[in-house]
Amino acid sequence: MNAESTSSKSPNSDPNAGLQSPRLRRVLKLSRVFRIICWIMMAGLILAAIGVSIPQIQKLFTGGDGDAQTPQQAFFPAALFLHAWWFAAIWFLERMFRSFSTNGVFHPSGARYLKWLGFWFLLSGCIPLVLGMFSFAIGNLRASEIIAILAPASSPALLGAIILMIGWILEEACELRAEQELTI
Amino acid sequence: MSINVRLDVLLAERKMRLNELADAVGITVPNLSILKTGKAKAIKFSTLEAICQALDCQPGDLLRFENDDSSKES
Repeated sequence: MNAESTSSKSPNSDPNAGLQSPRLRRVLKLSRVFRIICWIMMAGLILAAIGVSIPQIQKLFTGGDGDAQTPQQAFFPAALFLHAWWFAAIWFLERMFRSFSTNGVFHPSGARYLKWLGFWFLLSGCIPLVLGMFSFAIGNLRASEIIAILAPASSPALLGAIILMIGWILEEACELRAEQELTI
Repeated sequence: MSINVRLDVLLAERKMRLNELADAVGITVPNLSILKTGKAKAIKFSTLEAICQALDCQPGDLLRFENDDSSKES
């Protein structure tokens, strides 16, 4: 009789039960560190958004200088949008690390946030790509300008696609893990 | 189409409790409970061997195949 392999742990006892291997313990520790980094980055983004907004708010109260728009005023909504965009991306990252450190690596919520992060990066690369191509098609941009847009935008798009793919793999791993937990 | 685990029937026939079987086999009670309630997705040969030895039965006594399709048709 070979019962030593059958004395497995209860599947519902501890979500971090699988974090016994050194590699997974390292992931757990790093997740905590990365969460702190994410908080710092989010705080930095909030401060930067406030810094961008203060001159505009001041102008709102002081009346500004008529209809003439300064470059800062013209780019203010875009700057705020970019801050919000990257804040959301870091928030997904923080949620993912939070899920890793509380539920363990193989949990559907971690995979879900990783997929969202990938989707966010993909979108942040694809939007400039599509807009750039459209501007090029209607003749607003020259070939040299379109290359200047496409080159930096392709990196986040590629990164997003890779992260999205890893998210799918992690989702598959979660299903395998759930199945393995129900193997007695 | 499903595989039914008749662990409860075998335990009742032998007047054995789940925790006694767990001690004899070396599996935790929650895991045995998962097996008993039919929630398990798979069973290892080593577990099957251990249960069969503890209950003095054959794998066929523990597992039953039921064809749901045929029962629906009739």
